[in-house]
Amino acid sequence: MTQGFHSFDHPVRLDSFQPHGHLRMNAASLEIFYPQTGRTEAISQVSNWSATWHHSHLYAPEAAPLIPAGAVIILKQWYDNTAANPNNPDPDMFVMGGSRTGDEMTHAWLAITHLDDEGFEQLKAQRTIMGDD
Amino acid sequence: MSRLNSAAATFGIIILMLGFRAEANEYVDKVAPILIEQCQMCHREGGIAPWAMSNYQVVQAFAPAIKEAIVSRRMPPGQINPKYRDTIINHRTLSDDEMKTLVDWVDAGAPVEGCNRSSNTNSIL
Repeated sequence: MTQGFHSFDHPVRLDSFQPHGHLRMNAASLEIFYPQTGRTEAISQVSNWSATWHHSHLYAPEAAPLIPAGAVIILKQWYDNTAANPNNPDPDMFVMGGSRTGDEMTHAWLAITHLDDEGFEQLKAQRTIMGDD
Repeated sequence: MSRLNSAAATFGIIILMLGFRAEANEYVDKVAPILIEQCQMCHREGGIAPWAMSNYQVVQAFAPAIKEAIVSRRMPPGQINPKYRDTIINHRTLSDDEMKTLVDWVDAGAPVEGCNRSSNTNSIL
């Protein structure tokens, strides 16, 4: 399993999630870590990822995660480097990160809407009215 | 009392008719809408899929292949876990109910009662 972290110094709304890897990757997840409370929230998971399909998962407007400033976006990805993975070109190979198909990647494309504090609070208030907070 | 029995019998017949009607329109009311919503984005003329769900004959001909593809979860190609399915507008996955509706329909011989068979409508309905 590999991990990547990113945080913004301003609030954002996450609009889509497209995990990406190569032949050995088989799962991905997205979590938000809130440093103020120590809580981690799972917001997306793909357990049967395949390099043959690259999906950009578009969040419904009312479900798009609202991420406060300083919260940490955690990307986790899993790989099957065994001979049991039919896509694995060589189970004996020591695999590094890289751009070639035989290398691996821990990568995701995220569509982000950058918000100011006022816009963030407005969107949160709308969610509360919709009973989704 | 016999009047009551008669009313009950009539009521029973109406219920039976309703039941029959629902079953008769299974394809139009339940099956085709799933195919339109979950498959025709790609399975259409000019789409990226290798065959188009262009009318009910094609859908019937491919019914066993449709069952094989969905039961093996090769299709639809969405990968998001069911827990997060409802947060994603283009999840391209089937719910358990949708899966059961399609498989039961194929197992029943892929009947298309209720659909418009009068002409080549370029529609699966």
